[in-house]
Amino acid sequence: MKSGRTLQDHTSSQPSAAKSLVDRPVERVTSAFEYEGLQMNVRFYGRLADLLGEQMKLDMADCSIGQLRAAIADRHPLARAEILSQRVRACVHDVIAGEDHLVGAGGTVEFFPPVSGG
Amino acid sequence: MWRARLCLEPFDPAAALAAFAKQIDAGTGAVVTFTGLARGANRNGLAVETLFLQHHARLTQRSLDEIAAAGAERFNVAGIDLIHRAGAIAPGEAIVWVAAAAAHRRAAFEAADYLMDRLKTEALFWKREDGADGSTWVEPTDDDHRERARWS
Repeated sequence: MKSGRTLQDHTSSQPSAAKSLVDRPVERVTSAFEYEGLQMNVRFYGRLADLLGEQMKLDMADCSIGQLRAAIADRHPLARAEILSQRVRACVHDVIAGEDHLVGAGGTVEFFPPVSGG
Repeated sequence: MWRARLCLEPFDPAAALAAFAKQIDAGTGAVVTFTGLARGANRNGLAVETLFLQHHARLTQRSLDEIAAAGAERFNVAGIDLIHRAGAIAPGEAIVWVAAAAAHRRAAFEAADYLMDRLKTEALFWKREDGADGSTWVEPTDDDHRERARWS
């Protein structure tokens, strides 16, 4: 009985979830990619955040870190040298990622300029 | 025994030392501490009103843990403690404090030196100096990298 009720609850929640998508205010819709979950989430730190903002969403499907850097450089020429610099490290799921690392659609990539403590 | 703390508010190095001293065992004959302070002027002699250290929600603490653990592993020390500030820091306030306790002084000196060299180049912070003339992001110097390379 318990599992049946859980299934029923789950099933009955689906129409309302779909409805909330339909009812989403138009001004919040940034692109068709958002509905498909294909936006790449990017976070920047340090001087990169000054240049590009702390967060950015890009309409991109699966891509490598290198491709993501190139896409950001194309869209933001003033930050081109910084984002393409290999001194800026990419981080995915809290692990430093190489240029060939593939990021799935809807994934999050963080870019770290050189760090300094002390 | 090691501990590393990320601190978002001003802290008192003297109180940190007193607490650390209570935890060291009877075999300890040396405690070395280092305190790094926010300077009121940058490398070019211009006034710094605020030093801002941006940190990462998860990875900054992890980097501090990794450095403290590596110091405890590498040197013959009885204990290591470190505190690192983040956020807005006024000139004269402590940014970083490290302590190493050992049976003899050499290991304690070396461990504290090692911790600082790694913190300068590898702790996950982004450091900005804010002054009347604007803001500047600060990166490790060539000297900082040379000092770090001594331990490779």
